[in-house]
Amino acid sequence: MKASAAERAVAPPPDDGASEPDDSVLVRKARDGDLNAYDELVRRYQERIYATVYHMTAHHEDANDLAQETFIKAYQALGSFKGEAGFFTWLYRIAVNRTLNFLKSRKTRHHLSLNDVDARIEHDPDWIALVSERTPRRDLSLAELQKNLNIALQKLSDVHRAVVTLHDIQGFSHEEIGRIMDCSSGTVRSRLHYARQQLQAHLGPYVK
Amino acid sequence: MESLRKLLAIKRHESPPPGYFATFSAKVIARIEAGESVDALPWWRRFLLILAARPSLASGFALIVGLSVLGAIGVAPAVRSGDLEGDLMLGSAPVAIQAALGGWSERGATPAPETYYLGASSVAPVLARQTGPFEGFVLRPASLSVAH
Repeated sequence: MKASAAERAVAPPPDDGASEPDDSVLVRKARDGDLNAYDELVRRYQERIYATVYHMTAHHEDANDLAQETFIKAYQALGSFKGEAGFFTWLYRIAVNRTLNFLKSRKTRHHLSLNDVDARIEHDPDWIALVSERTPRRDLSLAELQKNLNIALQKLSDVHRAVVTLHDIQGFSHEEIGRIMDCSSGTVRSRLHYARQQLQAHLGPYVK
Repeated sequence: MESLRKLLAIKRHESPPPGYFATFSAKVIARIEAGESVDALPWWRRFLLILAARPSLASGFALIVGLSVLGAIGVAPAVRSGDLEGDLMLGSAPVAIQAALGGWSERGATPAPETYYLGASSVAPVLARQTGPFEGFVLRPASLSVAH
């Protein structure tokens, strides 16, 4: 049975015992200076970290820089990683915090630099259901919907956009998001509720 | 809300250019190997962070600083004691220099190597000045007197 987007996004790679060492093993080796071990960690999480940062910034070049900096920063801070939260959660925390700091320091609203939507969307049940409904969005192109969606997301505050990214796009639970953003799951829920209301208002006819 | 959830499916399918991730980790590792720092911290803050991360290094550094402070404290009483024979005080130096200058001017054009006694202690280095108008001029520790 195909894993849901949430399950794919949240769960660390399966450990088959033979060829996939556990994160903790790789972290220990990397801490001792084994860059090959750290390279493996980067490969495991590069797509998810990049995606998180990209969805928060809607800018490929910024996402590229911030994602690389996240992994560099994580390597430099390996000595302070205590292992209480998983490496995955700790890495996400670095990514989200760095991105929020970057967005805060960015004085003016950046223009969008959107990635292409890959063809696999045509097989996504949510997308199929969306375009099959008799609504104004049915007549719009994918590019136009993508642009309007990203503009609406950029209208949210950075923190609200982060919560929508982690929950509604990447499939993290409220508790996981709370650990990443260092807040209670109740706070996550209320931010998510507010963010969705804002998106509904900004997107108007596209979500009716 | 359900429509919004479905619309967000678009975001899940946004992908960077083909081949992007093939070189991503190599670039990260290359930047790590180059010693790149992603935080624009001043050198002294980076030094403090290193000490915080390595307690043994911090202990060594603290020991060096402590010994330096103790050394300075140990020397200070000798400086304050007022004993010109064995102290480092240079307050008498102007007197010695004036006397020597006076002696020099009396002798004429080319001064013989003069000796200035600045009340240095026996452990203070002897300052030999070999340049300028006072070439060959040598400072030696001794009691305060001016040799002609």
